[in-house]
Amino acid sequence: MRLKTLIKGCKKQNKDAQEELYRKYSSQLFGICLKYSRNKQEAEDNLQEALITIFNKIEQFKNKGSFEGWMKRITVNTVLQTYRKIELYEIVDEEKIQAPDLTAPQETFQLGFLLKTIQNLPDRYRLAFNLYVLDGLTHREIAGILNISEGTSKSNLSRARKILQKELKQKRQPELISSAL
Amino acid sequence: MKKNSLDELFQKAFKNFEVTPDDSNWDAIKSNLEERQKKNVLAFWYKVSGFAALLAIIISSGYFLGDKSPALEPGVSNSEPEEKINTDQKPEKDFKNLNKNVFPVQSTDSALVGTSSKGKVEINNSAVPKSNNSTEKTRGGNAVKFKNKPTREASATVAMAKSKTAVQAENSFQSKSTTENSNNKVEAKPQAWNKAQSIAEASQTSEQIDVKSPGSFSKSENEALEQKTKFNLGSIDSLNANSSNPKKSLLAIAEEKEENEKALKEKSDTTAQSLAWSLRPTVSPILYNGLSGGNSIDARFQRNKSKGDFSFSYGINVAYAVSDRIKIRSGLNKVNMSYNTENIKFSSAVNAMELSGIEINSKNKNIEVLSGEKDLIQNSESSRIAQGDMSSSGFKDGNINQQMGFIEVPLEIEYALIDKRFNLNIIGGASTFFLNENRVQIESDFGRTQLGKSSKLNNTSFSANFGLGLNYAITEQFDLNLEPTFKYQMNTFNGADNFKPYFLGVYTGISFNF
Repeated sequence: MRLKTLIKGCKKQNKDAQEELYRKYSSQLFGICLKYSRNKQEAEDNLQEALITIFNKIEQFKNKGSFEGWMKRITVNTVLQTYRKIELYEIVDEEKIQAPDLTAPQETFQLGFLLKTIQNLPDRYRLAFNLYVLDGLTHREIAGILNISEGTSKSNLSRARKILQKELKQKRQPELISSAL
Repeated sequence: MKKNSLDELFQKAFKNFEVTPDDSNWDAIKSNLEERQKKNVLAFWYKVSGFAALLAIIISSGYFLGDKSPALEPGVSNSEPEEKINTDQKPEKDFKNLNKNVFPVQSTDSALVGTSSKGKVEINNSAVPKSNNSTEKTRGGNAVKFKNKPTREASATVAMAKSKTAVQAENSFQSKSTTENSNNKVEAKPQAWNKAQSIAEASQTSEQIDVKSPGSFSKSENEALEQKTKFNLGSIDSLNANSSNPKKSLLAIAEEKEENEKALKEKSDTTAQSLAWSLRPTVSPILYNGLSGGNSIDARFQRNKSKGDFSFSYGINVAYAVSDRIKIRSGLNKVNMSYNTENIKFSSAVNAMELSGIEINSKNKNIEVLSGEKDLIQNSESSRIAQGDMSSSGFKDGNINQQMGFIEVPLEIEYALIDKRFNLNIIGGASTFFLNENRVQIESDFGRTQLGKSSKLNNTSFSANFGLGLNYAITEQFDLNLEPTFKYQMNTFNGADNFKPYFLGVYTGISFNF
């Protein structure tokens, strides 16, 4: 089924179209949820929440721009909403922002291990790291989305990097991988 | 490695990062969506019922306010209706007053004096002894039946009267007393006029004043309670013709009564008008089928046996009575229909031939569906698969089931052939249908496969409706309805000219009149 037909079917709340849309895009969206969430269970909850929002708001999609992009934005927003309730503020410490060089160990890591290290980050650091590093948003944009200052966003990112570097150095891979995915 | 090496490591690792979620996630999403849809349907019906209730309140309050309109006042005001409001005590008082006046008259055997409920108008009825105690010529005014409710005192008085006076005088008294009471009853309870009027109409042809024997009146109080009197204004005039002195007062009474009757007639019209609206939730089993034996899915199934399933329609209807016999009706119904095309064969195929009437889901694109009818297999374009090959090539038997759902907005006229407590109506009109469910699936021993949806169904279609309505009035406000209805659908399908769909329903419900 062509994408337009699929969207049209979903707008009419056609069950088959909805299922097809799920089959087609749920992997991408679940990937986003896994990166932004604390663990698999919460990622699944966020995925369900995001897809329900997508199906209920699909009427608002006017075929202007990328449908995938629209769905990804909804998914990220859904996850952010979940964790936005948690305190994201932190007193800005300029020294922490100007942290020393953070380098990754010269090794290869399994994807599951890397995912788990991200998931283990405190909420505010994890969101900042995902938005800035993996999704390419600026600190100004992050500040706007999370309703924090740019300084706080920079501080959160800095702390996230530091923790990640520490985790990679410790190479606590075996016990982490099993619980990430 | 520079500062960004950590970022690069993660960016590289999570580029195009995708993980397939468990199927349980879809189940959870699906059930959530279904639940929301149900809630939406409920919310929709709540809105409709709320709107209907609001409409009912506005209209009925309008009619109730209308009852207080001064237009009715002049006709009734002559007799001061406020003071004539009938209470249980009122007839007793009338009897008492009557009795007080009766005794002196009866003792002289010369006149009968009656009192009206309000004005204590005296009737010097010197003609009474001459009048026939069983028959009086009437002039054709309304006769009113009512249940006389004399008190113990009243009946005792009558008994005393009997012992003292002549039978004729007694009869006259009874006639008069009941007459007065009947007047009171009518004047005081205009809201009960509907019933009274219907009874009055039944007895309107009668030109007699039917007065039961006074003996029965005095014998048994119960009998007296059940006594029915037919009253006619003409009796007063006939009495009046023979009396000299009270002529003026009798004429005045007659005029007063005529005015009262007019007022009451207006009142009854208002009451009838106030029940012009009715609201009716209905439910009906629906049998859907085609008249000409065509097929709405694809021409290749034209020879296949097709039949409709039983499904349901439910909704709410509003009717407005433009006259006693004619009603205009509309409403909102949800109609579900199910139609089966039997004896088809299906299998997976690489280049499956598409069915012209179905928009097939992409995941089921590889399902080949053919008619199981022999001659069609050989003659149709699907003859590339000979029947012998069918079983060997893995074709399975099954049926195609088409599910359709519509929101129906009817506009109908109902004409009452019999307009009694039991009504018989004929109903004619048209409906507009808005498509809101469209599914085609294959049903077989191996389960149910969703094929897609019909591409031939129009989003908006119409029907011509014809039906018979059987109504039974449980009370004045509530009717029980049963309406076998035939609806012939027009332009439901686009490009399925041979298929002439119709459906039969037996709509049942209880209507609320207001």
